[in-house]
Amino acid sequence: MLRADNVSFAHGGRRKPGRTATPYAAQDFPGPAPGIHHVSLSIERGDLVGILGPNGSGKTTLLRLLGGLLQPADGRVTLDGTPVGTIPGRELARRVAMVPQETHLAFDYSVIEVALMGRYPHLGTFELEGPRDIDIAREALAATGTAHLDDRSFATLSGGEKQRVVIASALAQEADILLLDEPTASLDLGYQVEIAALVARLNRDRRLTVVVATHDLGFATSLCRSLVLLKSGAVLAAGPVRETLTAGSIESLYGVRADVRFDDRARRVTVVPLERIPHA
Amino acid sequence: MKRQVIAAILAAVAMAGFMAGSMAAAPPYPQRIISFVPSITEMLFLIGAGPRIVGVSSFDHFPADVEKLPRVGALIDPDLEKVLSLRPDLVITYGSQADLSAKLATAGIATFSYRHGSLAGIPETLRQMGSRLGLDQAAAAAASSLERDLNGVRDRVRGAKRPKTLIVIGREPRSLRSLNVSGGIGFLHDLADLAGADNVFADVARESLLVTTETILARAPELILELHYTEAPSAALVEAETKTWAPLSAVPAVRNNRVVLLFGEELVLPGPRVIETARVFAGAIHPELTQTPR
Amino acid sequence: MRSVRQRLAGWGLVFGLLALAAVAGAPLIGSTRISLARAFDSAVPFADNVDAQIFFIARLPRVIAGAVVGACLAGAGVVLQALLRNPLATPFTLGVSAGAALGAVLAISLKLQLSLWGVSAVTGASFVGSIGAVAIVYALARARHRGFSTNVLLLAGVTLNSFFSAVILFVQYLSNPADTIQTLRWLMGDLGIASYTPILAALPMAAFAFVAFAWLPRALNLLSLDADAAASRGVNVVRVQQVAFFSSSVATGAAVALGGPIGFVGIIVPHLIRLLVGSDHRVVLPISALAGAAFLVACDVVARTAMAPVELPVGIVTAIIGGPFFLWLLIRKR
Repeated sequence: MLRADNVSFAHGGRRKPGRTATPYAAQDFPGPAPGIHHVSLSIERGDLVGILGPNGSGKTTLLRLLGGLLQPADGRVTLDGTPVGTIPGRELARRVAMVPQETHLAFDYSVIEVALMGRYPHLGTFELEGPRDIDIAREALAATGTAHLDDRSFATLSGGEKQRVVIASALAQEADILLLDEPTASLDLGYQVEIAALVARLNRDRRLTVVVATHDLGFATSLCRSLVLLKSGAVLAAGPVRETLTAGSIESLYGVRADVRFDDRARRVTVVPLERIPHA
Repeated sequence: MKRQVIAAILAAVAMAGFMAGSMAAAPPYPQRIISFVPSITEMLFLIGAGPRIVGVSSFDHFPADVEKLPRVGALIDPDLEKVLSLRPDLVITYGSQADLSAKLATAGIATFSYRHGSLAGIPETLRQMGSRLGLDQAAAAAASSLERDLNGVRDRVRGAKRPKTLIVIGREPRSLRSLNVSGGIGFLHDLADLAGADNVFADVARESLLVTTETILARAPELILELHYTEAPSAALVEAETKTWAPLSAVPAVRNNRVVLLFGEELVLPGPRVIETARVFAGAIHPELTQTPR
Repeated sequence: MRSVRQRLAGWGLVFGLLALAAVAGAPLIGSTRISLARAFDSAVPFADNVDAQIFFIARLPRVIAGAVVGACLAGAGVVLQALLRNPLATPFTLGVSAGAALGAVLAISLKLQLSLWGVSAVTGASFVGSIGAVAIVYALARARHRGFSTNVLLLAGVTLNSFFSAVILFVQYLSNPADTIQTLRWLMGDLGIASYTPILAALPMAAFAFVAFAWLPRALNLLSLDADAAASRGVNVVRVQQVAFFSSSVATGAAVALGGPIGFVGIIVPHLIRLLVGSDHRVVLPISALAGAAFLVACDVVARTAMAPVELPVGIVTAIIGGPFFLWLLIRKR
């Protein structure tokens, strides 16, 4: 239902105005800013897709294109056939929710207030949140195991708790597609496992379509059913995990020789990095 | 014994010679004067020290001779390098230019530090300048003449009813905001007092103060003297500016059309030309008495 | 946690009453004792009624101006802090007041002898200056991307502040001391307009700004997350930022035209209100406006009575209260 057809995008050049106001500035990336080149992919309902690639490969850009925050210079992104650029913001937000990598609150909000922010697409400009909205927000917090924190100040939470609250806020949008950008980037192992379990549960129980951008192989292999390997803004391979994640693709993607096997016990692909291959 | 006496006499002669020599080496009075204070520049010209002036401030305009002289900056931006390059032996500074005075002292240059204050300070400063420059007679004459003229103005208005007067020294153009008035200290207050007026803010021991329109309504001045330090603009503009007071019609001065705008850069200078200012004040305060041609 | 409606009603009542008390009470206070009965006595012709003129010309305009300026500065402060995602932003951060100051300085130094619709040249020139500054900053912020970058906005504003301040100093250097003193007085803020015309002139601008302020709060809440998070919840981030920028600039421009660049109101009040009511802008914005009005009116009362007959510049009063308050805030945060 969410498709990208031959989508290309480059930073710094002429752009069509997108919904977002702060595009990545060149200083956010050490090398040349990543672009997206002729990427095509198709995501169906209920999929759990990982966009995998090293830093700077354009994962976040692709995610933002999929979410309609950026408009592609070429090609189009469509949701159920309609280009996302033509869907009004609120309507799109009721279908697609995005959880960015990090959340820095400029001011001090309580957890329930952050969760309620997810109700924005459902309310008119001057409409105040009603009991139903509050229930939905609380439910979302409960789904992420943060209901007990609802009166706490967001700033006082741990990294893992913050991430879960932000996910709850995205869930409160009642969207059926969830885009996650590097959800485990600043979390330690315990939280990583927690988030993976949470996302898997949401995908299973709520039939949430999930797209996760990550560079973490372990996270990708433990969670996703299919992968899109992104190298320098172009698709290297796409498909079920076992098919796409091979020694060859990992070598090509990360410049690392690795041992790739399917672990029967864990029912997942495991990757053991062996050595770095010097650049050609 | 004789040897000791000769030694003593020789020592005394040597000392006398040395002292005479050192005195003869320094000029008795300053010959190269720089003045940062325009009112003192005027005084110097008045007592005949004009030719000795080698530098003036950026804001000196009187007498016309100063236009030919080099400029050394002003109160907030004195140009020390320029001053030194002119090799002065006396620099007249503002009292608040302490930093400048200190630097000049280090360079071995004599300074005269001036703090302007009352009307009486003007002839006194004239006399001080006279003694400092060896022009005592001229200074005394000028000072006495000034005092005589001022007393003349005072005499002329003696006995006349003294109006309660507001002396406005600044406000925002075309508005009654930022009203800056003269308090009970300073030469402007003294001049108004001399010219036969009672300053409504005489009780405030400050040279200038910001006041509200409320205070003015409360103190009900019968005459408003508004000072502007530029040339007079067109009559139409003067009238428009005067009309700014119209809303405060409950003030006697406004109701009776006794708002007088005075123009001239000499109004701000506590120098020899205060006598002209005194006459202008007297003419404005007591139009019925003085027939000063304007 | 009480609902937004409850909090708005509750705090609105408190600060609404406070603002009302300030505006109603301030004209009754002054350095002179007046007889209210006489002031309102229609039998006495207004032109001769000292009490009435003190009440209606000397006091009332500056109380109303204080309320308008206080509300505008506090509101603009809240909006700008949300726009720049920085609680230390003030209405003057983006160069609006520097532009206004330059306009005023030029009007004073060039002795502009104009008066448009009863508004003095200084008032008019300061407003034109603030609009000029806004235009320059906006053009700079837009030039780099076809979007709208708050980082560039901040840089442009700070740069403009420095540049205009330098130009102001330069103009002062060239002008004579009397003008410099006049400029300094304006820069310290003065609500003593003694006329309703400047207020009427500023009111449309303030009204326009506050209409926008009514539309912004919920979006500002979401903007506090970050631009992406807000956009993915359906906020039109670019439009919100533009509206926030223009409305706060217009409010600030009107405020500075009325009373000069009065500092601290735009930062103390939003901070204090956030401490009291939380961070939801739907509550913070209107309550800050009310609190700002009350605060500035109170400061002006102090300014015109504390050292009577000498009038203190109101900007000094807000600074004297603001400085220690800030230190207290900092210490408290530790």
